[in-house]
Amino acid sequence: MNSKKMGMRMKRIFVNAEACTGCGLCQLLCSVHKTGQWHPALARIKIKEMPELELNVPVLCLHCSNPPCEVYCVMNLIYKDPNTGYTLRREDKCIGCRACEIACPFSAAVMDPIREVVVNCDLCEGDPLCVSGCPEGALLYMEDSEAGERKRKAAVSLGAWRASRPRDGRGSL
Amino acid sequence: MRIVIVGNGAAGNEAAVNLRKLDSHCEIVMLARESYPAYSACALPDVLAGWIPLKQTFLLKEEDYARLKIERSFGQAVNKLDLSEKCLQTAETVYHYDRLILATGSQPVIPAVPGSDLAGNFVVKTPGDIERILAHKPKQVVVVGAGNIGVETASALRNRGCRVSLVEMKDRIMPLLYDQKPSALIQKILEEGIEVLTGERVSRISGDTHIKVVHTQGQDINADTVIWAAGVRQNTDIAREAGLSIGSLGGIQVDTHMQSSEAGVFACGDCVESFQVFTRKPCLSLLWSSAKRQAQVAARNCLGYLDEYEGSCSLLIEDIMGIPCVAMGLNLEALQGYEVEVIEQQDENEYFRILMVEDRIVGFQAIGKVEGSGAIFTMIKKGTPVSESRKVLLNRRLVPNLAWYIDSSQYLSCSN
Repeated sequence: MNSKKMGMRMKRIFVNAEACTGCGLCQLLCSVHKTGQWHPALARIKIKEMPELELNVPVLCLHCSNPPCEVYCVMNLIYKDPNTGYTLRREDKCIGCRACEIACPFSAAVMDPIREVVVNCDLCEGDPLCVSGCPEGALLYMEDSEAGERKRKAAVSLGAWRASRPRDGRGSL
Repeated sequence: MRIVIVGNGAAGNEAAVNLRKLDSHCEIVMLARESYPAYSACALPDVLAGWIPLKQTFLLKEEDYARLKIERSFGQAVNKLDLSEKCLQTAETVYHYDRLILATGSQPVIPAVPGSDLAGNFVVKTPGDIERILAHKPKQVVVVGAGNIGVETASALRNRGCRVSLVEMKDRIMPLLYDQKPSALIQKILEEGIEVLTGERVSRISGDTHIKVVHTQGQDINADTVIWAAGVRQNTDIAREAGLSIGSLGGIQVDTHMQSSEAGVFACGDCVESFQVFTRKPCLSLLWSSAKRQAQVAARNCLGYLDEYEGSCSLLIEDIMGIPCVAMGLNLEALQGYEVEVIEQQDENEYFRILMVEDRIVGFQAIGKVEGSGAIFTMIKKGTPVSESRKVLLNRRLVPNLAWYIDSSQYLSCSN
């Protein structure tokens, strides 16, 4: 309903899959920051490998404006933050039934096997480590408007851009 | 504007919360027969199993209702709905409304079997039922009906240390969700801890004041507790008596805006007859998620915002003895009359099957592994053609923008 208005203000993580080498550093940073343990399976960001296309696609919660996970949660613990529009959860209420996990098209809701609760990317209070730690610039943290601008520019110079794959830590969309 | 909601289940509470989100001024009144604040019916088996305390199933507190300015009158049943006067009657009071949302829900059916009135017969529907079951201290339990509630209840009581028998009338467990083969696989897992009797019907329960033996056609089972999970009936009495249209399946008839046959009267949740997303045929969707989505639609339309219900599509995940099992969409039985293509794959620890009609996925059942099934569920709901998804998966420019297709490839790759 008011999601459009919200969307204007919120910063999100955008993915430039072309730049991702699949090194998995983002996953390690995420897991150690969130759980204190160093294991990619505990990360809230996943890297989907498409070997036939020579492509790695980082996938994480997109903070949908009408999130299916919210509807499927039997404990009504998933909510949209009214100020930022982020999809957040009251994790202490979670019974680990995993309904949100299988309702999410992106598998971006992740079971934390240690606490037996399902979690999603909460953008680390505005300082996502996965973004600052990515050596290839495959993850970008910005507002929708800025991302749109980059996308338009990228479309204009798509040919040149694809020929010189960004490897300088400043990926483009 | 004064909006009255009847019922405090998933649908009633979701409607109330959504109304308040959209309109900070309207007057919201909730009436309900039950006196509990909002609770999660889906979490009740987890309480039976001893995994969570009962108080964790409650979703809204007194102060939440106060903060949302929702006036409540719980614990008294609505006896009559008068459409021409726009009012509802309880034993004590008359409530007038400008708009009405009926979320009266459903109640479990206990068949008229001799002995079903003895002490020790229970259903699993409200927190009160759970308190009564636990106070009864069950040791030998017969669960009647192997739908998802029966199966969950049986495993929960097994986990508590009870000896459990599960009796199902049909030839397999969870017959509305799974096809023959996955159902048999799940039954095998269940049988590690539970006695499963299919094709059997409880004919009599004997005992003096308490249950002693449960008789089926073929068996006598010693038991002290019987839990009925043999289906539910829609609570439509006040709607029927008021003259609202009732559908062929027994639910309140609504349009895609969740409006009943009377303008300004909406209905949502277990008590309505909605339609299946693929077949478009009427169906009773008795799921938490359907109730919530229908309540959102009802609330929005009630305040004049347009929103349409896209149709019901079931999604159930069960933890069977620690093994996750998923059923989505329709099964073969529900697809009679369609030409269905079945894709299945099985190895030691995992099983899945996809049901396809023409180029669309219409059903999915998996055991052991559920990761990535969200992509399949999205395809079922949206009616995405499989050929389109294959095209996307071969195109490196499209894939990153439609990342959810990627997960579907692990299931679709074996069907070329």
